[in-house]
Amino acid sequence: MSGRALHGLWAAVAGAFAGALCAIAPSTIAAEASDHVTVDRIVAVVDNDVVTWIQLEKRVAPLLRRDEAPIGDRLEADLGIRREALSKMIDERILAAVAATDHVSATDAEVDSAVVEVMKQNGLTQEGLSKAVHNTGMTDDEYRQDLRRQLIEARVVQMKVVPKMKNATGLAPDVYRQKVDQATRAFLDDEKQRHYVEVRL
Amino acid sequence: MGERGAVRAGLLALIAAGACSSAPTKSATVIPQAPPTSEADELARDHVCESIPTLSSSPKPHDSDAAVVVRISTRGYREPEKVCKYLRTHAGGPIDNAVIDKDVHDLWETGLFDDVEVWRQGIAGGLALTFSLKARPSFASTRLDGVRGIPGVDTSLLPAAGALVDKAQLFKVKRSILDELAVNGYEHADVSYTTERQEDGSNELVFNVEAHAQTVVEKVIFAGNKSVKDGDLMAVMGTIPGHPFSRDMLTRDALVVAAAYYDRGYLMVQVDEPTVVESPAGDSAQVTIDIREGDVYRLGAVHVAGDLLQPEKEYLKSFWSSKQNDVFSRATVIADIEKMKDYQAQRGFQSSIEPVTEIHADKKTIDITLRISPAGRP
Repeated sequence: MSGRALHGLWAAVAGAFAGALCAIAPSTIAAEASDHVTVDRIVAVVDNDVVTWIQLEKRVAPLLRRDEAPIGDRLEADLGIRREALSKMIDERILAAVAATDHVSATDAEVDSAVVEVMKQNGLTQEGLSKAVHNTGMTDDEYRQDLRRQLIEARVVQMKVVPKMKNATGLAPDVYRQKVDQATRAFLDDEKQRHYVEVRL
Repeated sequence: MGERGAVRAGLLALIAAGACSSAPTKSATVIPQAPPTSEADELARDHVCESIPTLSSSPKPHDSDAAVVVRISTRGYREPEKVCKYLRTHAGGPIDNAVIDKDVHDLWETGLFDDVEVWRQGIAGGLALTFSLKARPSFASTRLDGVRGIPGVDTSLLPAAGALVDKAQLFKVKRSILDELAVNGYEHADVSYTTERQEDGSNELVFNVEAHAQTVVEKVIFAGNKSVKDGDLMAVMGTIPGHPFSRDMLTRDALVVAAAYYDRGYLMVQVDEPTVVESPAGDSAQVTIDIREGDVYRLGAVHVAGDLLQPEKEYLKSFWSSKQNDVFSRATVIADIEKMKDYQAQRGFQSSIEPVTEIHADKKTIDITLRISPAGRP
């Protein structure tokens, strides 16, 4: 690892630690009494939509560290996971806004097909899939909503990102995938200039 | 510690206690009953929406997850009863995160609040839940400064006087003003907003525009075009020397230049993102559009498939205006497809017609199948 990369890593670690101290009491309005515990609050605003603490916790629950690592390390790692998850949730809301503007949707039948495809690819029965889904903390309905979101996002990327990619023909699948990811990141950064995004984590 | 030291320590303790007690005191079972001294005090008070009577001697819960919610209250909004009516969270059971989260979203969607936070607190006999709110501001009036003499800024974009305003809306107004200015060449404009206290004590929301220099197109250069003349390409451009420069227009121009090539058979044309060089003062811009033309493609086999109302050859005879080996033209194909759609519609079929293409790079030809679907009867 180069000195520059190390410096960047150190800065990120220091930033995460400073943030971790704030995250211990995640309150924005006025938690004036020490025995108050925040149950829910708004952690991000995207245009007229919000991401809440409960939504974020549900998303990160399977990813948070439960090991015997020192609490400082755990808080630091957990905060990084929360920040990353929140960033992803903001991206999802921006892609949903783009999809709504361009009338991009996915039908129930298409979601059904996606479910069948997932079962086929993972060698699962309907019951097996349900069990795996419930293990992540999602209900079957929530899983279908998530698949619908993924289908819509893939369409938005296909419609708005892929046509603008240059020199993207004849690439190996993983290189192409990487190029699409980079182009999607650039597209989202550009879209963020056109949407109101406020992070309150 | 001597006597003076003890007095000093006591004083420090008192000062410290005073500093901590500046926030409203919350008792476990008693809601502050003292009359409010101001609107701020009133907003800081808890208004109980729902409570289950408990003995003040009841123990505080140890396990918050299993404890029963015995009181639900709200604070921070001048009409607490209105807030209570929105809540689906009720006393009498353990905390239900899904319901609380739904309440937070519902409260947000009322458009009344800038922030919503829910706290839990152990009190005698169970848990107290507080929905703490921060109301959105409203302004008695709004004003737009700095746009005199600048065309195209629509003052109707501003929030109406008295309407509740949120940050997303302010961002949207700012964005709209910037977009309108950019279309008119003011791409370096800045827009800020602030609140001004008026003499009568009301607040005015002020948007301030700093337009900076208007950028005018100085020159448009096409590079790499051998088969299509500069004049023919300029004819389709919206970016014109002497006119205000707009990046949105330039993005559209790159597409129409490519379309001009598609209409001349250059199916593989590549029109790069135009490069823009501005003068140091930002008042003029020189635009360069790089083009790689590629080869001319001609029409190969053409078919019509799907839900046909008559034999395929009749469609081709009546609506297809090109012949095999003609130079491909996107505009001609689109016009022919529209004629087919009109024909279908006149017979009561609203149809979608998708051209499916197969390109033969070796022969420089393109085969087209016009797929008609679905032919739904109205």
